[in-house]
Formats: sequence, structure tokens, C-alpha cells
Amino acid sequence: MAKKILIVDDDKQIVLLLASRLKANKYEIVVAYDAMQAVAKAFSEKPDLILLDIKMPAGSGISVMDNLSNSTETALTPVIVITAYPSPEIQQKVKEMGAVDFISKPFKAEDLLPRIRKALGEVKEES
Amino acid sequence: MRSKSDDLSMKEKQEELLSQKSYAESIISSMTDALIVVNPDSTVRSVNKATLDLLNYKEDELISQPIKKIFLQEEEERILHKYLQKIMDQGAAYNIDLTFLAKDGKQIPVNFSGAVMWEGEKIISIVGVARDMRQVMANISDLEKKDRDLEERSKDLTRMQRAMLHIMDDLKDAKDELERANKELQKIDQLKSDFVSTVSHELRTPLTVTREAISQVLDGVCGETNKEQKQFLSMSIKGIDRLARLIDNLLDISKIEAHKIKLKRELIDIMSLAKEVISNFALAFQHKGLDTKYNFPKDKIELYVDKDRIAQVFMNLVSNALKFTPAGYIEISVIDKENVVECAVSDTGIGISDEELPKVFSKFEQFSLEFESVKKGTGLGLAISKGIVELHRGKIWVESKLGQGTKISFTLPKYSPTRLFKEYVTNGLAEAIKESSSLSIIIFKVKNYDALQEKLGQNKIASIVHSLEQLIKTNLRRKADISIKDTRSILVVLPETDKKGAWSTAERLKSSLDDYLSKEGLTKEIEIDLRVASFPEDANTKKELLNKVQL
Repeated sequence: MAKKILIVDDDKQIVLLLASRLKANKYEIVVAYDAMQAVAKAFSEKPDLILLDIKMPAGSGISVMDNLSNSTETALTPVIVITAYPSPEIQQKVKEMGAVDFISKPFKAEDLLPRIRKALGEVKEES
Repeated sequence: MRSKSDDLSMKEKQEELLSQKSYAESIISSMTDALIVVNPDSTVRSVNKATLDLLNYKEDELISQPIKKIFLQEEEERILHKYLQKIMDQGAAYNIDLTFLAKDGKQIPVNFSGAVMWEGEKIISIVGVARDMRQVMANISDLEKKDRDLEERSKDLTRMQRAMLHIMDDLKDAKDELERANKELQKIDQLKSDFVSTVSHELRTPLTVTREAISQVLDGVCGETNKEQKQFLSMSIKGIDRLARLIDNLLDISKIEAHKIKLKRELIDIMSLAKEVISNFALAFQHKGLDTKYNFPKDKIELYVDKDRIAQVFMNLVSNALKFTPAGYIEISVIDKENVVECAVSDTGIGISDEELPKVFSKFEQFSLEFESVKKGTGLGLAISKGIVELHRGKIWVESKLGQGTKISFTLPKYSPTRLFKEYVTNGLAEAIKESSSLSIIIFKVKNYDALQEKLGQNKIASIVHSLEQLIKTNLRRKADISIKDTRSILVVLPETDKKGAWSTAERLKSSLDDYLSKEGLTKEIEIDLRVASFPEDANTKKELLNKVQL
């Protein structure tokens, strides 16, 4: 069964392109355009992985992670943060909050896809 | 009848009188002041030698002459008369300023005192004494001149003082102006840095969209593309990647210029770091047929540096060397000097001309590329490298010969753990003061280190301290907390932690150390001294803080 990935970004074009790329790689896609939708979809759709933008107009990705970690249903869902604000501080913060990976925009597909596979446990972690 | 003895005594008296007269005369004649005796009809009765000398007259030229002859004409009417009258009325007058007129017409200021000589009820004469005042006047006029000079000088000083006050006012105005301008500049600098930061971040989203869209077309997600289309799309991707690198570099340089980069120093082996960076370029080296040489006289040199940032410097230097070296080799050297470690990347490339050499570390200086590059540069790499090296308090410099090659060297000062700790305390304290927050430090010290070293050996005790530090590291809960291992102590910095919080952390860490020691059977062997100091509860300055923990 195809793994389900939730894409969260306020930029519709980015969501569209990520969805297109991931569909082409045989993933099932769910999308959300703000923090509230993201939390709702995370609960209703139970994705295997969340690709999460940090800076969004209504509620940040940080608040999404906060919400998810408070519930046993979603606390274990891996999160990859994809952000246009790749400061070391933010990177450290989201890692401390439990994000499994941190990718800065603009990302490259050849970089993104292996990391998604790794987060989904589809490849053995390199030692 | 007069007796003979009477005659004799008369004669004796006469002689005595005569001798008294001549004695008085000799006194009068040897007086230095002028003595003039005036008859009641204002004629001269007699004068002494000093008078004659003073006025240049012979005695017979004066005797019986009107007294006004020896006084300045104009005074005669006005003053002389008045004073002679006064003397006659009051019997005497003193210190009258008058002017003598000498025979040759010379005017001589004198100080004149006079008294009346009586014979019974009758005035027989006025005796006057005059003192030549020329010397005194000269002295006075000299004094007056000096006084005037002094006054003039004092006026000059006052003028100078006023001028100085004006200058100081001007300086103060200039200083205020400079301060205003400086603040304005800082504001502009902040605006610039905020602007660069915002723009850089905002550019990332459209760049992501563009890159990913092109990339998907190129990858055939939306159908097949022909070879030429693929080639063009690849060019587009390369351009976007270069733009992305430029944005990263711009952010870096603006952070460096705004002093917003905080180094995360950790103990790093510079050799392995350099090798790790070079290994990323292995393909490029192979592609260009270039050799790599290492000049590493030591196996390992450990330094407290920001690993990512120093890797970035090596990356910039090596990628530059690759770009400008068509053939030959690139050499990386890491040499241990006394107080610094000197690193260098040298190549056998095209070199830099003497005119261009001073500009290599400037922003946006790009040099003519005659060769196909691995990756096009941004013109910021060396400026960023310089910024990073200087943040580490090192130096960076370039040597080059056109046609022979280039060598870029940089130094990294050796930091002792204590120095590093003090730097963290300084920075932490500045931050705490700025944010009205707190800062605490904890020191764990092995008290009987020297005895243990003798008893257990250097290696054993060093490894125990190492284990203790590892234990503290894993037990510190926050990323911002820092622990540094010195020979016999472990130094901990806790930002945003007050005294209460620091003690609870210290107790927690201590109990984990105690557990470890008891498990190892070392509880009785090792004595650990624990000290805590907090800002602002215990100390207000770095010195006080460090004193409190006896560092």
C-alpha cells in the first residue's frame, strides 16, 4: 500500500509541485494550506509522514508540531521541516521538538526523495 | 670781673660751638637728599651739596634767588605757593610731589617735605628736604609696565580660554553630530541587514517553485522532452542553483557584517575536518586531473572552532583553487605553530596579478575566468571566509604569483578551555544584560587531582575526567547549555538560568557523577568540589562571577 504523505505549505504552487513529484514517486498525497488544516488532516488522515513548512500566515509549523506531539495518535508521525528560513536556531529548535529532518528551500528532488524514504523507513539508515 | 678761667671756658664754648656747627654742616653737606633753606620772602637762604649736584648750579647762582627758580614754572603758581603757605600755616608738610627744574632745563621729580624754623614768634626760614624720585619713578614705571604686560597677558589668556571654550563647544557639537550619524548609520546598517535577510528568504519560495517546476519537466514527470530541451532546462537549473548559492552567501555576509553570527565552538580535529571537506571535491579533482597533496606534520590538532564555519572556509578556498588551477596540484597544509594553527590552501594555478591581489577579500570581486568552472562563484566566498576567520580571532592572507599559483593562508588561535569558557561567560553575560535575563555558571573540580595523577597515572585520571564531562554533557537538558572540559575541572555555562535553577541543575549533575563514581568504586578516591555562581544574584560582572567560582 502506498505511503501517505501530508504536505503543509501556505504556498499553493509549492504544494502542487511537491504533490506532483511525490505522486510520480507513487506516494499518496494529502495537502493542507495552514496550521489548523494541518492539525485536522494529521488527525483525520493519519499520514505516514508530514512535510511541514514553518512560516505560514495563520499559525506556524512550530505550533503544528506542538499540537501533534500532545496527542498519542500523532506524536509518533515523523515530520520533515521544509523552510525558506533555514537559520541554525530554527534548525536546532525543530530538531529539539522532534523533527526527523530539516530541508531548506529551494530543495532539490534528488536530495529530498532519499530523505523522505529514510524518514519513512523505506531504506536502511546509513551508519 | 671775668676770670681767666671764665675766658677759657668761653673760648672752649666757642670752640665747642664751632665744632658742633662744622659737624652739623658736614652732616648737611654729606646728605644724599637735597636740603634747601628758604627765607620767609621765598628766596633761597642756603642749599647743600646734594642740591647743587642735583640741579647743576653753583652755590652763588642760587643763594638769595627766588625759590621758584628751581621749580618747574607751571608748578610755581599752582602748587608751590600753596604748599609753602601750608607749611607756614601748619608748621610742616610732608611728601609733596613737586618737580625741580635744573639749570640745564631738566625736570626732576622730587618728594618734598618742609618745616618752619622759628625764632621766638618769628618765622626765620623754611627748611625743605627733597628726594630725587627719578629712580623710584623709573621703578614704578617699570612695575607699571610689567603690570600692563601682565594685564595684557592675562587678557590674552582670557581670550585663549574663550577660544578654547568655543572650540570645545564646537567639538562637543561635532561629537554629538557624529553620535547621531553613527546611530543613524547603525539603524541603516540594521535596515540593510534586515532587508537582505527578508529579501533572501522571500526569494527562496519563488526560486523553489521555479526550480522544482523545471526539474519535474526535465525529469519527465509531465512527459518526454528531447535532448535539446533537456540541455536548456539543465542550464536553467544551474542558473537557479547559482542564485540559491548567492542568496546563502548574501545572508552569510550580511550576518557577518551585522555581527549576528554566533560561533558554536567545539573541540575539533582540524586535519580530519580538512580531509572531510576535500573528500567532497574528489570527483572534481579527478575530472580536472589534479592531484591533492597534504602537508600535515602532525596526526591530530584539536582546536575549539565552529566546525561548520571552518568547513565552509576550507570549502571556499578549495573550490577557488579548483576553479583557477588548470593543471598540477592543490596542497592543503595544517601546521601547528606556537599560539596558532596555520592552515593554507595553495595551488599551481593561474595566479593573481599584483593589482588584483589587494582586492581578493572584497565583496563581489570576481576574477577573469579563462577556464570552464566547476561551479560559478558568487564573488562572496573569500569575503565570507575572511569574516569567519576573523570571528575566530584569526588572520587570513594571500600570496600569489601570476602564472605560478596562489596560496591562501589563515590562522586559528589556540583557545584554552578556560579562555573559551570565559568567552562564553562574556557573551552570555552581555546577552543576559541585554535581555534582562540571568546566567549561571557551575564548576566541578577534582580537588585531589595531583595526588590522583601520582597514584593512578596521567592517562587514568584524564579518562576519568573525560567520563565525568561526557556524563555532564548527556545530563544537560538544553542545547544552549555548554560544558567544557579543562584538565582538572568541568566548566558549565547555563544561559537564562537563575540561582535556584542553577543549584537544582548542579545537584542533579552532581548526583549523576556520584552514581558513576560509586559504580566505578571511586567514591572514596575522588573528591569533587562544586561551585555555582549566578548573575544577577551573586555577581554583576564577569570578574565577580568568575571570582565567585574561584576561576
